[in-house]
Amino acid sequence: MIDSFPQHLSGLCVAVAFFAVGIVRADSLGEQYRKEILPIMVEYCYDCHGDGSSEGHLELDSYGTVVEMVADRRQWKRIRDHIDFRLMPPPDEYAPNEEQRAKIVKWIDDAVFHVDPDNPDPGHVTLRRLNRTEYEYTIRDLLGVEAEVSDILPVDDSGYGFDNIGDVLTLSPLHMERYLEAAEVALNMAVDLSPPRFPAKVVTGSQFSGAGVRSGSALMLATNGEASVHGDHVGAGRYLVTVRARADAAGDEAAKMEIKIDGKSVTVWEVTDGNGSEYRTEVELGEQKGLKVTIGFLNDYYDESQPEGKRDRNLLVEQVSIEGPLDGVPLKRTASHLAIFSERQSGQSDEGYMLAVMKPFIAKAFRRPVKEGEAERYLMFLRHAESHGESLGYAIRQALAAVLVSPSFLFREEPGAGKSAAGKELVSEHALASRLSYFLWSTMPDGRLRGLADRDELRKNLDVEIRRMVADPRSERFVRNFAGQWLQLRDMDAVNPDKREYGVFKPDMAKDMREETESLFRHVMSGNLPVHTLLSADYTFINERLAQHYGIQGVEGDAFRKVSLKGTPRRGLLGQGSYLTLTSHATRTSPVLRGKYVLENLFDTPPPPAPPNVPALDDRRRKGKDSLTLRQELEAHRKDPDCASCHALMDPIGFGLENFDGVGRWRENDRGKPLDVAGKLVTGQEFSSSGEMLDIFLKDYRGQFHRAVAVKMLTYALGRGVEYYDRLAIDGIVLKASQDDGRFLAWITAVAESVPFQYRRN
Amino acid sequence: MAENRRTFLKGLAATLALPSLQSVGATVAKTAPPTRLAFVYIPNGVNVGQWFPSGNENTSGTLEALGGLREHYSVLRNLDHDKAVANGDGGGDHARANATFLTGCQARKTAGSDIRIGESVDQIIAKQIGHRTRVPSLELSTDPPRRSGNCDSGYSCAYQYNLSWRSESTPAPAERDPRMVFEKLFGSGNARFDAIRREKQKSILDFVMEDAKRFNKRLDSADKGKMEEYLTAVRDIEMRIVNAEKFQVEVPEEQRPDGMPDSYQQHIRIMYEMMALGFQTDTTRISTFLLAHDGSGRSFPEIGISDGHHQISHHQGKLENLDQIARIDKFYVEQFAWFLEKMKNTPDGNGNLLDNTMIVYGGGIRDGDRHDHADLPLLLAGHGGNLRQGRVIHADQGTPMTNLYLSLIDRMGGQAERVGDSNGKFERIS
Repeated sequence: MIDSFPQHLSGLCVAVAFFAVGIVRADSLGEQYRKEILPIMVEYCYDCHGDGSSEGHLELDSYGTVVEMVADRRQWKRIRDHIDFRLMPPPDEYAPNEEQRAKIVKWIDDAVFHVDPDNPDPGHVTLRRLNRTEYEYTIRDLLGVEAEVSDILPVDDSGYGFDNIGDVLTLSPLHMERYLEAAEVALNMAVDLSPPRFPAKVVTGSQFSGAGVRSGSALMLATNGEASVHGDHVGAGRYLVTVRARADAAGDEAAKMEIKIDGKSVTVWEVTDGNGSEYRTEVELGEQKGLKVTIGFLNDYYDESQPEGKRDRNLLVEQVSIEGPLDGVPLKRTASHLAIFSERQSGQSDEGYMLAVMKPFIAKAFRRPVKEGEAERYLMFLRHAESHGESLGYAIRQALAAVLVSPSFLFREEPGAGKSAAGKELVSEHALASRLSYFLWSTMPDGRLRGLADRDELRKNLDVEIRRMVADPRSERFVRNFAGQWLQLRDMDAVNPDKREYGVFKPDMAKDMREETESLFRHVMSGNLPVHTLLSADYTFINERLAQHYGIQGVEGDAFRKVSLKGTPRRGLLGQGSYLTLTSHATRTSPVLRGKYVLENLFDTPPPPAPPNVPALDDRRRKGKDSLTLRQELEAHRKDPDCASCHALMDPIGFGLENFDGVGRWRENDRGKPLDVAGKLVTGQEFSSSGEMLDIFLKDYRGQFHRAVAVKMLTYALGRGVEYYDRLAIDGIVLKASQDDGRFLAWITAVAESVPFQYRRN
Repeated sequence: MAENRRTFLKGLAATLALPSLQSVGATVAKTAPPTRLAFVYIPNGVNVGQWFPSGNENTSGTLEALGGLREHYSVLRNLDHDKAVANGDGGGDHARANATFLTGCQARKTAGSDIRIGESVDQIIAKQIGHRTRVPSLELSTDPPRRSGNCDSGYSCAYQYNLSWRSESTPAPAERDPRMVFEKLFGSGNARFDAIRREKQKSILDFVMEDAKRFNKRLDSADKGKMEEYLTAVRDIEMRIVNAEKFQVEVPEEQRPDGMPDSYQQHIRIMYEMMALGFQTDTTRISTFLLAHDGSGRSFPEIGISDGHHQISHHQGKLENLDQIARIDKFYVEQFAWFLEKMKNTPDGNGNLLDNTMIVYGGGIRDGDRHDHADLPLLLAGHGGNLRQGRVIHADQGTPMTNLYLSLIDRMGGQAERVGDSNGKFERIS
């Protein structure tokens, strides 16, 4: 079997050209395997996975060569992780020592997951569609309106724990339908194609004095008569007078309403509408100090012999407005409208003006310079409008809508900078600007980023820009979207602790708990603190409700503030309500879920999924005499060897935190039974309290925590899963950040400077 | 081809000037009513002892609420989804159950890259006959919005939350807001406004189609699939615009929903109502309805259950859990019975809507504690396609669920050689 290592390689004629270098490596690695790795494997693994045994469908001796191993990377990733995470050999079996484990893992990394440090693969980021959150922020920034459109769009699918993964952001017809709709909603807010408006003075009917009665805000004229109102000074010019009125019909003619200005009759309207209509007329007014507007009812009618509803004619005046001068300066349109519709140059043709509007808009929307002939294509809408008798404004609005559903807007194209080396090229400056702004702000680049990219200066100023971006309020979106998903805080909306068991958990508390953890994350971010502060902080951010819940005195009111935790057993995230509640069931804690969360999210050692068809632990303790504590029940469950190795990893962590109940309160007993929280991690360290466990995490697991931070940030920043070829990039990020004590900005910078962020595969 | 399509669209644009766009009653000639098809998904398996009939009568404790409807449905036995079994892929039965249910394919195990499953039966049919109605197919859901992105055992959430798949890599997301569903079926209620909107959309879609072609030229091969999705979506909406003008329908304005319902029960019923409306007006003939995704941890305060469904479904044989599962099963069956009653009371042709509809109701897991995918809990209701109801219909051991789908495709007037893992037809339903 393994003796055949080098010989087998000679059969690989087709691949020789490609793997020429690889063969030399494979050769020496094969040698190393035979001499150093194989003996350990034979000793500790072959009882079940070799020499004819194939537990779990794994026969290690079925792999004759490194090339065969490389061809089955999926399996070897499992083998590697099972050894690295101490899932194998199972507990109670003879196991290799730490040094031997490390050796095997290193060999697998070098041989099966080899990465060439001189020529790293930046990987392929699948063309990313904006997700709903990004879409909403982008359209808001682009149009300058607070459009709420994310609810119109279909829910996004997610992968690798995040909802910005290119591969799963698919686009269905439903999306297209909704993008058209969302563009319409946003443009309705941003663009104003109504006729120009002028300053107007408006008075309600009830402000008129004279005849009639005031009823609500209206003036009711039940008999013939008139009422007047006095207005301010007006300038000379043409004015539009609008009266909103209605009438009760009776007799054989309509109610007659006369309007006079300064005592002079302007016109008489017949008011027929019982629900109210607007009656308009234009008047020429000279420059004058004051203005008297009079409304009169001219033809009252009353006949008791008529049936109810046909008996009495009345006039109701709701409102009068005088708008103008119509030949003066119209009112300014909204800022969002003016930002898009720039001022038209005198003598500019429709085409010229439309291009002047479209070019900057396209560049912003597509997050790159406008391509040759690109803006001109939109003139099609002008020709279409002209042939249908529509206005230039209509044409431009249609063109804007077309931009908003264009693939160049909806997808994030990330072209190379054109200077390509073997296998990879730098992404263009504009693509880099986009990557940065969606990473930290979940939106399109702002003017400054665009300007730097236009001048080819962003890459040179990366450090400064990152600092600026993190300090900008928009980085709050990084808290909501990155931390919200990494630490699963978004799931707080869905926690539903049982009302009988946890009556103390009030509806607002989920929001408070989320806010607490977000505040801590924000604090680390804005204070540029070491990221391990998330775990070690001996302070937290709470309001009165949470303080009471935690048993902390002296915090009053709804406002969140920094509060010391000295003298309490709580430290960092693992002592916060969000984590402790998220990882609990409705009626009890779940040590398994608590352990799993820590391994998956904080240590980047996700335990493999439970084997299929093995029932998970039940939620409720059996009632009656033979009732087991949760711990005893879990221990029984762990006796099953299928389950044991994995639970040995997860459970001690969860048990170490059992002093916190299912909604994060401190407790000494569980249902009358004293809690035993002592335990031993799979790596051998023993502890007797959550505090001691945390000390071990901070001391011995810092490297793993840092790795998790790097992996999660890189996944989020790239919008793709991390692959084996990213190992060096991740090592690099961890190393760089650790040199700065793991401070927050160092992580962001290291991610932004990493090969997969800076380059694209080609 | 593209030229023809565009000419076609322009031709339609010209006819838009006609004054009355909202015609009263369908403009389609009155013929025999068409056959409709619906799929309704229940998550997390069932209380097996209570759900399945003990003998050959189509009744059981759980199915009690369907008592008055016994001649209108049958219980199906021995239909399996073998592709929902691990088959070497390890954990993740909930994701697989959901993803396999209408596709009959093994979901490629990935958290994101290279998602692959298969086209679902409803979409296979919709592609063939969907052009005959305003809306080719209607995907509904009452699942709450998703939050952070962690799903079952290394499977992307796309598998666990989508029932319908337009292609092997593109799901057809479902709608959960009844107002939007109504608008999709019947428009805004202002026919003139809708016509103007369609006209505007047509010229925009025409324009971006060209955008996409140019964009596509700049992409490397790995990303071309994305632009293919985009182009398909554009074409689909264009077709829908054409159909909206071709098949005009009276808007049942009094049934326009006014918002998101407060309770789960109301939400389920209003979505069933939307489905029935779509069928009744012949606005669509195909619909899927995900009551909740598999693995759903929803609690049921309305029936006094505060623990999550998924957690309870791992019952370990405990009576308390089994009892709660049965109550949840019954809750879902009660809503289904309400829907069948509604269909039965809706006239259609010379009979009622239930006479002309085929409805598959069930889930991709049999027992939540075992995560098994054989002899699934399934009902087949309605009399469309000459289904013979009021029975327990036994398949041979190991019959793929997808054989049923092949037979349903036939009855919808569609054609398919196979669906997922089908190996024949299941004709005992007639």
